[in-house]
Amino acid sequence: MLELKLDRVSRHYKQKIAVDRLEYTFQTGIYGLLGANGAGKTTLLRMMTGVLKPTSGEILCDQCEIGKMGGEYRMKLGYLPQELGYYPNFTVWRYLEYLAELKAVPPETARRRMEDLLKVTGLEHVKKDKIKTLSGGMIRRLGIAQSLLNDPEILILDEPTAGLDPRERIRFRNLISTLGRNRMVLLSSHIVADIEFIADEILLMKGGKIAASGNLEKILETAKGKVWECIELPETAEMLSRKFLVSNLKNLEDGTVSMRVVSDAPPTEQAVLMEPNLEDVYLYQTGTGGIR
Amino acid sequence: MRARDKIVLEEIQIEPGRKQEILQNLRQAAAEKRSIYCPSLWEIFRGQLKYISGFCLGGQGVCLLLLIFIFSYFQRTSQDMMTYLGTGSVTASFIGIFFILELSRNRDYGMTELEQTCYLNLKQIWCVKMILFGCMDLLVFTIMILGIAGNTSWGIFQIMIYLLVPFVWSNGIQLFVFTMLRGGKKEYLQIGTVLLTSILWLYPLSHPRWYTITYFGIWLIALAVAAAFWIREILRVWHKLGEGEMVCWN
Repeated sequence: MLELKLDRVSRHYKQKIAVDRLEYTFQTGIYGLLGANGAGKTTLLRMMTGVLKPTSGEILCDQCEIGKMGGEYRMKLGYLPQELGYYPNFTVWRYLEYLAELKAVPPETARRRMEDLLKVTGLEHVKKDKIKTLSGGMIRRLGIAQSLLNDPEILILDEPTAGLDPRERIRFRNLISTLGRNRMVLLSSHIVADIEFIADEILLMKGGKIAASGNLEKILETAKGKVWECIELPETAEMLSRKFLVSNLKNLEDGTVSMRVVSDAPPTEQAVLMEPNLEDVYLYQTGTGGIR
Repeated sequence: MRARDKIVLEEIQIEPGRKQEILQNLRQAAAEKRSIYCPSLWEIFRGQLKYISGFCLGGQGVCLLLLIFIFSYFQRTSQDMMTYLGTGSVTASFIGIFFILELSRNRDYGMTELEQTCYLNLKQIWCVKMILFGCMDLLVFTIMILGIAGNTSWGIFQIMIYLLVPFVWSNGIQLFVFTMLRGGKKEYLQIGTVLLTSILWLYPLSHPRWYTITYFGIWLIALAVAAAFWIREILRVWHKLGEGEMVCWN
């Protein structure tokens, strides 16, 4: 079984530590990476693609350092960067053809695969159009299509659902779930629901470290007994939201406010203990101040 | 094994159903096995040539045609050797811009990150482009050297040195600027640099004695220094690509 191991991997930018001595082993399945901006998600993914060199530590693919594997590793890889680059004057077909050539996909296989992927991503009708004429969502879908061109064993997706409408997001989630059956999929996202629905393993990153990891049940366990719900007057709600992490706030018809608070101790005496969801865990693990 | 224990093939009972099942499993395993396809050198070069920007490739072609036209005009009007050399020096200094603009194209459209993760990665793509543009430069140089040698008293080696000095210096400076620049308007600064270096190479022409054999040693030293500077810049680009700086932040 394919294995990708992070062995005390760090990356520094001058004085700033973006990724700090990470140790983790990835195998077949879907891994969801959650974290605030600057938590080190993109840096970690870039190192795993071989684009960025770790300042220290090693990334091993089946016990071989990925830098030493070179083309052999890149052949296993499919990558969707956070900001997808494209030549605006290329047509959709030419763009895929170009990347298929760089990925060393045999021409016949490439043509077949391009047809299939354009169908899957719903871009078949625009294959002769120039990329500069496509909408943001379509370009994102093109990015997803290109990442699958070489039928990769390791698929790394940085914010894949950014810019997609809800229907496209659902379609994409289903596609990822299918793909994750026989390969390693790593995806980072700000959209907690995406990770919650499809990831087999969730990694919560904070300050360049993995704050929590495990399957959904295990991750939810970390915030058990920390999520509260209370109904308060607007003034009290205002005061509480300054003091606590509030994961949800809703104005009720009778003029009161329903609050969902993430805290070690109950925010008020009347607060009721609730079952945590992934958003609560995310706030609990990454948040430091009140969210209003 | 004794003779009487020998197995006679005809005696082996083959179960057709079991045989089909095994064959089917073998076919499935073969189909699932990933075949590694490594493109040949010819396929790689042909592929890259197909996707090089028309502007850069055409620009280099237009330069070549223009050079042939200008040199034949000089021949008809019997120009002196400094006119030939001036045109040659400016061309040699300018010609490298098309290669740099082609490299900039990968960066400008944010393709570097994606291309770096492909089997044929950015380092290799840029090497292939360097060879392709280098071949075209060689063609331009051959025409310049033969054109000048046929119309002046200088030897081929001497002319080659006089033209290589502006070419190598200009390429080194352009690579230096290329690695320094980030953000928008990179092409304009790059073109500005090449124009400036081209104009600067007109200055030695106002001193014809610098092109006499007495100063030839200085030209050789200038070429050696330029070559060292150029190689250093190439290695710097190589290193920055490896570290990922140039790929992720442009």
